[in-house]
Amino acid sequence: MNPTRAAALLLLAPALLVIAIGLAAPLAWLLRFSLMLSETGIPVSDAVTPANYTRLLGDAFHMRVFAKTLGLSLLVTLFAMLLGYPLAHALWRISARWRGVLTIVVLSPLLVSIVVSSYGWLVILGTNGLVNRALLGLGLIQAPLKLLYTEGAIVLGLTHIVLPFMALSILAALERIDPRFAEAAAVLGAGRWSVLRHVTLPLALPGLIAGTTLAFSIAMSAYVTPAVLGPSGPNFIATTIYNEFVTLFDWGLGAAMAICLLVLGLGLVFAFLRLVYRVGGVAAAGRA
Amino acid sequence: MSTRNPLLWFVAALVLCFVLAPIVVVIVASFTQASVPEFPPSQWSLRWYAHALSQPVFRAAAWNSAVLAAIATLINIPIALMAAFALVRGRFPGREAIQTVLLAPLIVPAVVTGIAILLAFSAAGWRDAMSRLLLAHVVITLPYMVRTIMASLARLDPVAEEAAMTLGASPLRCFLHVTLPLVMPGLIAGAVFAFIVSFDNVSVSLFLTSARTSTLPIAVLGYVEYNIDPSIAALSTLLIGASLIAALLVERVVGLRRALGS
Amino acid sequence: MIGKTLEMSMRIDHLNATRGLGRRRLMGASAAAGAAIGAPAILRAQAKTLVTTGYGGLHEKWFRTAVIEPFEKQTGAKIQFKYGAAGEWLTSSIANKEYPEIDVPMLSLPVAMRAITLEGIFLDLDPARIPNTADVDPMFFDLYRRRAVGFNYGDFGICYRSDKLAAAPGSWRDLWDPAHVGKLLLPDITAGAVLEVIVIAALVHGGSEANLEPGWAALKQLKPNVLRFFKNNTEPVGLYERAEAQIGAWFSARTYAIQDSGVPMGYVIPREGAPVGVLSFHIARNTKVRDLAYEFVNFALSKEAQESFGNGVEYGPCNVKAELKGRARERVPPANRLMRIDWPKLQPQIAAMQQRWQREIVA
Repeated sequence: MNPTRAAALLLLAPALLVIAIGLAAPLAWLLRFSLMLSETGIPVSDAVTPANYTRLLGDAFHMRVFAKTLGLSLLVTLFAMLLGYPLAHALWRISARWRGVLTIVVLSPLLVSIVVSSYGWLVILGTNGLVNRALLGLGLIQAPLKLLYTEGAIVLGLTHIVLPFMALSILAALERIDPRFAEAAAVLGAGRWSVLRHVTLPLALPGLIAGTTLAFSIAMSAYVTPAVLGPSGPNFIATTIYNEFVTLFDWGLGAAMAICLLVLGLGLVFAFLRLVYRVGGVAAAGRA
Repeated sequence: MSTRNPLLWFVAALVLCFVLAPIVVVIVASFTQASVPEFPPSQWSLRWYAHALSQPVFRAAAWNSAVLAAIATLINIPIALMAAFALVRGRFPGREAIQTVLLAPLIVPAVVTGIAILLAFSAAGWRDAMSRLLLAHVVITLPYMVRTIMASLARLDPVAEEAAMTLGASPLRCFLHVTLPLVMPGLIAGAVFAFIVSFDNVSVSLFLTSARTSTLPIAVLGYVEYNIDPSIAALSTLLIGASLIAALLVERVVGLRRALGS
Repeated sequence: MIGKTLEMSMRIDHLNATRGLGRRRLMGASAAAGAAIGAPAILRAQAKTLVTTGYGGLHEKWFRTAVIEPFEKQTGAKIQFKYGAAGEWLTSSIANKEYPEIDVPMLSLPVAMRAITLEGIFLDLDPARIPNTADVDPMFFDLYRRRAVGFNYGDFGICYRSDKLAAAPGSWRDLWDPAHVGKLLLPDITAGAVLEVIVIAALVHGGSEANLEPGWAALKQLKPNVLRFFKNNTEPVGLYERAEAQIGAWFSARTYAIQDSGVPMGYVIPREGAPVGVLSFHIARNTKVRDLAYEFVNFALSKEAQESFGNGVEYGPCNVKAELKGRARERVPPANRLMRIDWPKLQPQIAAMQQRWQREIVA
C-alpha cells in the first residue's frame, strides 16, 4: 500500500514544519545576525555587512583555533578508525549468544550521558587518578603527570565518544560483504592477514568512509569534552563560540564562527558522501 | 567459514576496556565513603546515593528532564511515523533531498542549534522558555526516530499488507492493523533512543534551559563546578542503570543493530 | 565554565498571544507541557516570585540565611536563587531584555562594569526607592554611576601555603619570584578578577590604568610560574590542599575557608594594596516585579542583613552602619584601605583586555 504523491507530501508536512521552525528559520536568523554589527549582543544597525567575517578570517588567533580543531579531529578520527575496526570485526564474527551484550557495550558511550563519561575521565586522568597512581605505584614516574586539561585529554575523550559510530558504520559495511569472497581467497592460498588486507578491508571501505565522516563531524563540533577535559579558555571551535557569547560578548563574531562551523561541517559531509558513492561500487549499492 | 584471528580479538578486548573505562570507574567510585571520588574506594558506602537523591536541585532537574524527553518523544512518534512512511513507500521527486533535510539536525552542531534558537526566538518575541526548549528537543530527536522507523519499514514484507487490501481493508485500517503492529519494534527502538538522546542532551540545552527549571545534565555540570564530591558519581550510576535497562529492552524487543538500521 | 545555563522565565500567559481555536489548542498543549515541566512555578504563581542570582557554597548558604529567608518571611514573596556565572546572567539579561528571566541579577565587578554601559537593559536605580543607599559607602554606588549598587565587597590579595614558603610575601612582585615556578595560581576570566590582575601587574611595573603595556610584558614573563588559570573558585581548593600550588592571587574569604578546614594557608594584603571585588545588584528594566525588586535590594542593604551576611561569609558590608564582629572584623579590612582601581579609565578597554588575556597570557 503506497501513498499517492500528494498523500506522501502531506505526511511529510509535520516533520518538515518542525525542521523549518526549529532549525531552518533559526539558522537563517543566525546568518542574518552574523551579517550585522552588534555591540555587547545588541545590534547596532540593520545594515548587512560582512564585517564580522572579515574580522574572523583575518584574525590569526581564531584561525588557529579552526586549524587546531581540524587537526585534532583528524587525529581523533584516525584513532577511532584504528580502534573501531577490531570492534566491528568482533561484532561481525561473534556468536549470536553474545552479540546483544557486545553491542550494548560498544554503544555504551552513547547510552550514557556525555557528562558521565567526562566525569569518569576526570577521575581517571587526575593527578590523584587511576593512571597516575598506577604509574607512580609501578615506579615508572616520580611525580604525577599532567594528563588532564590538555589537548591529549580532549583527543582521548572524543575518541571514546565517536568510537561507537565508527564501529557501527564499519560493521554495516562488513555485513554486506559476501563471505564467499574470503573463502575463495583462502582456498586460493591467501593467509589470514592477506585476506584482511586484500579482501575484507577494501570491501569495508565505504563503511569506513561513512564512519570517518560521522566521527570527524562529531569531533569538529564537540563542546562538552573540550570544555571539561581541555586546557583553559577557547580551545575548540565550539568552546570558542561559547566564549565569544558569554565571556567576551562579541555576539557578531560568535555568530559568524557558528555559521562557518556549520558550512564546514556540511561541506565535509557532502564531500565525503560523494567519495563514498564513487568508491562504493558493489558494496555501497543497495544501501537503504 | 570464519576467519579466526586471535590477535584481532585480543585488540578488540583491549579496545573494549577503553570503551568501558570511564563508565566502570564512575560506577565503582560512587560507592566510596570518602568525600572525593576514589577508585577503588578505600571504604565502601552508599552515602553518596542518599545525598544525591536528597538534593532538591537534582530531583527537580531529573523530573524536568524526564518529562521533557517523554513529551518530545510522544510528539515525535506521529510526526516521524508519517514521515518515515512517506519516505519509504512514497515515490516523488526530491525524496533523497527531503530525507537529508530531515536528518539535518544530526549534522548541524548542537551548540549552533542552541544559539540559533535562542537568538532567533528572542528576536521573534517567542519568549516562553519551556516551549523553546521542547521544540529544540523535538528537533534533535526527530532524525533518530525517522531513521529507526524507516529501517523497520524498509524491512517489512508487503505481502501482509497486500493480503489485507485484497480482502477489502481500507488503507487506514490496513495501516492501523497490519503495518503499525509490524513496525512497532522499530518504533519502540526509535522512541527509546529519542528519549535517551533528549534526556542526556547538553549542548542544545546549554543555551535554552530556564531559571526555574533545569535539565539534569546541566544541573550536574553546574554542581560539579562547586562540589567535587562523589554524589555525581552516584547520580551517574543511577542514570547508567536506567540507560542499560532501556538498551536491554530495545535489544530484547527488536535487536539493537537492526534498530539502528544496519 | 562548563554547562552553565542561561535563564529564561516561564510564562504560561504566552497563550494570550495566540488567536484561533486550533492554535489555541496547540498552544494550550504546549503550555500544558510547559506547565508539567515547571509545575512548582504554577503553585507559586499566587505569591509573587523574584529571580535573583548568586554563587554556590558559602555565599549561597549565607545569602539564604541573611537575606532570602527573612525577606520571604517578611513579605510572603518567593525568591528564586540561580547559580551560574556573572557572564551568563548578563547574556541572559541581554538576550531576554523584553521579558527578563532574571529580575535582580547580582554581578561581579568586571561584568558589572560592562553592564552599566548598556542602555535599555537595566534600571537606573532611584535612590528614593532604596532608602538604605543613604547608608551605603558612596564608593559602592557612584562606582556604578547609580545604575547598580554594591552588596558586599571582598579583598583580593596574595594567598600562600604558610608551611611551604620561607617568609610571608610582602609585595605583589613576590609572585614573580622564580622560586614559585609551576606553583602559582591565577584566575581566568570566568573566576573573576583577571582585569585586576592585569592592572596590578601594570602598577607594580611602572604602568597605570592608562598605560597597561608594562603589565602585559610582566605577565608574559610570569607565565612559567603559573600552574593553572582556574576557571572557578572551587578549583584552587584541591590544589592548595595537596600543595600542588603554593602561592596565588585570591579573595580573602576563600583563603580563610580553606585555612579553617585545616590547611596551613596564609593571606596577606601586599604593601601596594589589594583591589576590592564587589558584588552588585542590578534591576532588569522590564521586570514584572519592579516594586518587589526595589524592596528586595533595600532589604539586602539593611544593617541587619548586611551584618548577618558579612559575619557569616567574612566579607565586607557595603552598608557603613553594619558592624562586623570577632573574627570577621579582624579579617575584613575597611573599604577605604583597599586599592582603588580607576574603572572609568578601564571600561573602554575591557573587551580588548579580556581578548588579549586569552590570547597572549592563557594560551
